[in-house]
Amino acid sequence: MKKTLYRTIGKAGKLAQTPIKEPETPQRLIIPLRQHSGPACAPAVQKGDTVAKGQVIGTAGNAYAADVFAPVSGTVADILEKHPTPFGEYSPAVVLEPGAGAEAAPAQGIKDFLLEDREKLWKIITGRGVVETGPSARPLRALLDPLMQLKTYDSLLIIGYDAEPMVCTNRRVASQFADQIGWGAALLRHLLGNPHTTLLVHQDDYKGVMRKLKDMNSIDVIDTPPLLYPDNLPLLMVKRHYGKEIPIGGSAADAGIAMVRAETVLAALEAVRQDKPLTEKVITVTGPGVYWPRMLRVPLGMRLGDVVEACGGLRVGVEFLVAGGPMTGWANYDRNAPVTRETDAVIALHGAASDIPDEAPCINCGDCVSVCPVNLQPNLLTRFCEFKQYESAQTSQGLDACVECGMCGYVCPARRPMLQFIRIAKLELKRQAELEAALCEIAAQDPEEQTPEAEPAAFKPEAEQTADQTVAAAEAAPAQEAEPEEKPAEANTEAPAQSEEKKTEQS
Amino acid sequence: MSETRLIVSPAPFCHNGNSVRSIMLDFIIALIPAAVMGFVRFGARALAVIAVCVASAVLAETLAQKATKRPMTLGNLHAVYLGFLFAMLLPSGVPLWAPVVGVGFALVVGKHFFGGIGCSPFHPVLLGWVVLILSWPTEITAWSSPAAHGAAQSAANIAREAPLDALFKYGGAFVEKIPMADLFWGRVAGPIGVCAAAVLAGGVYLVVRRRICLLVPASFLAGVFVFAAVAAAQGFGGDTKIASPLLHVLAGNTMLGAFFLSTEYSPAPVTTAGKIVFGLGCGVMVMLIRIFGLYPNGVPFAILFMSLWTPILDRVRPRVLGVVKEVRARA
Repeated sequence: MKKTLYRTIGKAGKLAQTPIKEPETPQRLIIPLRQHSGPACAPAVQKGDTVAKGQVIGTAGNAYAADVFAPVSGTVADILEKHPTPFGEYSPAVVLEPGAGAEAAPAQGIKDFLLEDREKLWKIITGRGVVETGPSARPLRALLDPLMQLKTYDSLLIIGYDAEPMVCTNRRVASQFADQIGWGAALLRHLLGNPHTTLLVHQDDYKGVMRKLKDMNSIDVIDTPPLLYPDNLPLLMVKRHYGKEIPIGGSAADAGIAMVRAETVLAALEAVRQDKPLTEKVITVTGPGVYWPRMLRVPLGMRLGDVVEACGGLRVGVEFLVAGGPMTGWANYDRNAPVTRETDAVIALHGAASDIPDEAPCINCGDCVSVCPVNLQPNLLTRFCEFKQYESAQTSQGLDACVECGMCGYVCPARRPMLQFIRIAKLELKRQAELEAALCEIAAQDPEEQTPEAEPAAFKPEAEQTADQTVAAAEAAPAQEAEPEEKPAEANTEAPAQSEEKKTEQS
Repeated sequence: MSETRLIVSPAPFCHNGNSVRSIMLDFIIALIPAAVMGFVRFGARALAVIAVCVASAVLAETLAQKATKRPMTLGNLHAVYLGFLFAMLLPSGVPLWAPVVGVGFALVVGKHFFGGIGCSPFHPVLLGWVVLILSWPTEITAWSSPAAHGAAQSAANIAREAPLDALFKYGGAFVEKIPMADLFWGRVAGPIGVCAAAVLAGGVYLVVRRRICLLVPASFLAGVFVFAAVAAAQGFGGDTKIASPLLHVLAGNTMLGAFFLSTEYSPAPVTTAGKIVFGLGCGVMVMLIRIFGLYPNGVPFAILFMSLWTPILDRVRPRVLGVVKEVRARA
């Protein structure tokens, strides 16, 4: 069953051998102010301002957010309250028209970074907006050093391949920039207290990477065994490689392993050595619907429409423009959705290759159970989700253990939208938790204002009002909405805080 | 702009191409060898029974879905398959009203009362068959003799009696004379799906096409064989009940039960451990019924009995990755 996966949708093979190209700067960039796991940045520029390349245009609010920078010099044409991101959400965005802009401050890179203080280097990396590129988009420091106490690790695992079929972003970065990955690994080793370092690369790239890294004795290059998706998911590779299991809802850091993608290593190195903020993203543009599949390094904020134009445009009849891999990505309805730090790939598919599932009942064939990489029973799990029994799904079916690989939907003969059921359930549970937290805060804050007799009558409308506010807050700053991966509890405490503020303003 | 409209749908954006229809088509294809052998052994009357079964299945499903105003699902071929499979359990000389009643009960009560495909806790075909055997036992077990007998046919009454009926009535010594090749090629009295070789071929096709998991039929047949061997060695049920384990595997509906009746999706477990226990349990129950029970065959009752255990067997699941660590971390 799994073997047919590549046959259906094609391998990334040839594309991974082509060098990364830089397309022409488009006429207009729409740079979302939320390209990280935390809340959206506050805009640091105004309409009509001229900005320099690398200038901060959005300021991060907390440790789970990262500053947003201007990828090129130009003029701020507009600041949008709400613009679609490629992942089915909305974010405030800065519209930038490239052109002559303000003069950029001279870059102050640190060449001998191994001699520098760790805290200072972390500050540079955070200040240059380095996040884990890819779906989680968590700032690197929040990912590797959540308590800001210079955490040390025993192992550093650099992922130099991509789990999903068709995507080869990290694979290409690891092979093309292998020497820089080597230096970046040295930087991270310094930051993390000299952990044992492993670079996982695709088996076809192994020789080339080894040649480039032959002088780096401190780094183990390992080719991934020829595993197919989803057995090659990084979380499962950790188990295979280190024999350690990542606890539910946790990250590799909880298992004592610093797991970083190759592109992130490159970004961290460029931030320190060249003082370069994270303003570009390597993406795989592929799929049967695009004329020239390419590897591109595009400025953040480049619209998907411009990206596919740089690859020859869409073929006739293409109806699916997917951001992310074909298994877990998001279909876009708007060509103006920009490339963000989360976007690994842009895939154009014909309608026939990916038709919309009809609503069909589960026939209990058990295919999903046999392919689930974490031993769940997706047939039962999604039935709970379908009938809105989210808590039962969580407690009796292990909803939180789901890694959202999408294999259950891939094999389902009844074409049930399995992954969608699971994502909706996770989202609903998260909203419920936020709502409860908000209500608890209110109850804790002013117990005296409400007399016990009046409480049922007075409390209820207020509770509903707060619920609306919380939802409104979540929509305005979709920090907590439809996260591709679970966030730690700290990230979830903003919504109640925001609704608190609104409430105090009102009263 | 003349750009095409973009469509939004949930991930994943690719699929392995399986559909309920393609699966059911494979099940139907897998039954064709058995049907052909039924025709070869019992003549055109076997085809008539198959046709009546399939037609009444289609009619019953249509009526059930029209009456309840639910969407029509004839296109997924499940009803056709159930009707086809039902015919394999019937003697070719059965009066033609019997399949109408049995299949009608199977489809309407066994399948649609429980919510249609994927929801039935028992195999609909087996429920329909049970109704027939309890109501009209004589008609349903009036096995036809093969039209073309092999030269190895030894005794006239063996030709008239199905091997398991003969074992039930006359004892083990009586059936020793039946050559295994006759059982394998279906040169004995029995239902339309009597030919073990043809059913096995269909089952292998299903396993190769990954429509069914090999674990269930393998453990089913292993359960029958091993229990029969132990029973023969230990003399369970008295000397008259002793028969070769191979006879138990090849005779009656054992092969059909292992590959088709116990692998219907909704009444069977989905976990690996559950499948093995389910198959073994079916095999052992078959032998218990054959040795100690009232029915010479026992396959349908054994599978129905084990289907009762499916919800429990589905809870025998491997540990979900990441669960234990979390519990330890909390403690």
